[in-house]
Amino acid sequence: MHESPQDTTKNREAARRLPPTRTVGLSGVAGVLPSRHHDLPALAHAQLLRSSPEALSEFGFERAHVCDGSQTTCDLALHAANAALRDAGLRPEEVDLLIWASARPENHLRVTARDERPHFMDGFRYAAGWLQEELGLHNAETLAVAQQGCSTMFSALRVARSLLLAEPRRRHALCVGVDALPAGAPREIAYNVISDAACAVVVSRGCGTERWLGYRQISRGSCWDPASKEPEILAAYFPVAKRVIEELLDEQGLGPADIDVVVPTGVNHASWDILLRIVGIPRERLYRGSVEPFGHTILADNFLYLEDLRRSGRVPHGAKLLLFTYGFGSSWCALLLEH
Amino acid sequence: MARDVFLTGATGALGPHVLARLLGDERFGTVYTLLRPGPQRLQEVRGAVSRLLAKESPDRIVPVAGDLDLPALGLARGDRDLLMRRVQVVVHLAADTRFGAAPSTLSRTNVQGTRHVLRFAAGCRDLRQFLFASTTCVAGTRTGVIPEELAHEPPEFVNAYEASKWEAERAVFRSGLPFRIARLSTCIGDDGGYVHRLGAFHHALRWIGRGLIPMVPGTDATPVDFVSTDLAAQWLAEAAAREGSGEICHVAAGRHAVSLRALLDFVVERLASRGRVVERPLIVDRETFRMFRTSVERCGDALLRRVLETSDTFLPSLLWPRVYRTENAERCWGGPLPHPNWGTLLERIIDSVLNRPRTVSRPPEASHV
Repeated sequence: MHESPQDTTKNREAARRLPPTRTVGLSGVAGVLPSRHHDLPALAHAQLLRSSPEALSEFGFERAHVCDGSQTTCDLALHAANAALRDAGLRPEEVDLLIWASARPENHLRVTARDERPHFMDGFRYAAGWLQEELGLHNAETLAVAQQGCSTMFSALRVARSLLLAEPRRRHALCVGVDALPAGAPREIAYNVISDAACAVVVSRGCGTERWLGYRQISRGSCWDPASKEPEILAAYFPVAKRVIEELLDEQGLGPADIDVVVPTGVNHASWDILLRIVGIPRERLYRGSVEPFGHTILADNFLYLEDLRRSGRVPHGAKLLLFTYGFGSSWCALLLEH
Repeated sequence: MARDVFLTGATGALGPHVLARLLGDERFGTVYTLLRPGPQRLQEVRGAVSRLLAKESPDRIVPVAGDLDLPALGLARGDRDLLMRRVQVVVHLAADTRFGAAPSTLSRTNVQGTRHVLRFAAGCRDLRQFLFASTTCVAGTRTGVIPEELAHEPPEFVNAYEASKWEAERAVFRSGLPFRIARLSTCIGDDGGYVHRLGAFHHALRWIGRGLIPMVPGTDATPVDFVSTDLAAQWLAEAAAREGSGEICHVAAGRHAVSLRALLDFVVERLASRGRVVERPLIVDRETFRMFRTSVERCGDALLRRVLETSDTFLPSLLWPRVYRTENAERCWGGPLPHPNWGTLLERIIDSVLNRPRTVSRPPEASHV
């Protein structure tokens, strides 16, 4: 039986007035970049770029942050997790769920610098378990999310929210995302300069900050192989992005003009200019804040910007925040929050 | 008495169809076809005509060795004298239709070549008509309703091909010969879906079928005018049987043109029914398309750049919405033009184009002799 337009409006308004037990928000957000970085000429000299530094510079890229031997992905993840817990004002024992998110398989494992000979048991040395121990999250259950490329963290948040709502005795989920490219790997993927990074988000039930309004994802298995389908992915990017954003807004009874801030990824600036035009969101609503250009960090971009936005205090309460990302696999994801 | 015809462009996209119509019409006698020397070309023409006539091509095809780009068409004297005695109708189809070709190259074939044919025609003792195949693209960037008239001043053109055909029209108009100019819309294939030679339209369909065209310029309502090759050939054969009237005729869908939105929806839906799920290309404004084009050029993806190159000569015309008047064409025909159902036609063309073996990509074919 179809809802009448009046019922749809009533239901949407009712959803916005959800009791605290049904409200989920982001109580803590943190992002971390490796301290070491290389500028475009240095990357080109090391033959780690496919395009010229000039072309990449026109796309808004300046440098790539790289994990070297002194900083591992686990180090970054630990740093981000601690920062997010502090931001949320939580003690470790208050965390009910720990969700690890990495796009690349090797970043799901804890590998120490001293490891010399690979062993088949290395594949079971999960970083999530290690982090639980390091942080003292003794009451948390652990799980991980994978296979979504740059949108893996979005799925981690989605899973976190769903579990908090489905299992009301849980209140806080710590989502930790980290990715680093293998040592010596090219630093340009699909015309984007890639940085290593970590991020962490505490998703809390009954939290009114960065309140979760809606989520929409479109997955296209036909574009599963980024190496052989790069032109098809590039061509599908805009039509599917427009669709996923419009479907999310439509679900919420909103239009492009209702979006107060777009929290972007660090992919090339031209693509954001085009995307905002085709969706109809004014370009001046794209958030850049005071974050130094960091390229594209696989899955931490939006949360580096979101952390900065929260700290800036410049965005008024009640502002509608749209986060969008695309991830290999392929998935286009849009998340709507209320600041 | 049956009229003998001198035909150029027999090997082009439209040539075999027109030739088949002429050969199947008792009002026409011998059809002399201007061909560059070489047995292969004649075989190609005979083969195409046989397929269209579903029988062996009649002996009424007489190949004449020559070259459009040469003065006096490079005809041997004996051939020229014979043709000038016998030919009563000149049907000039030959042209270089490569949108991206150099202006000088296009001018050599489309303008100078046309002047060569006009001079030849002027020597024909009993010329009844010079029928010139032009293109609706001579409207350039004009918008709105396009009349069946020669514009005294050239409009702004999207590419050099359009400009060259406009110049050629002027040459025909000023020739003093009994002429008729047929401005043909995009001929996308015959009613059965057969496409003799792929053009920009077909390449665009292929790219859409691979999900490689994310956006096109225009509006939802932009008319996309195309006709079946059969219709164009039928009309040209009918027009060739008449006397030259000094008029210009739009052989086009005109007010029956399909909207860009409807066209894209149809193409995507048909692809999906064949198991190819692609996103419908977005319809965007000029500035957005320019931004996208710039980003593709900068990023250097070889395949996307090739897609844009082959599409760029066709897609920008969508920014100038227009409707072609067709009253002259209808009067010549004797009634409304018999357009096939556009959906049925397009479905067959899609199948034909997508099932066609992929060859090394090249720009839309030149159809000159």
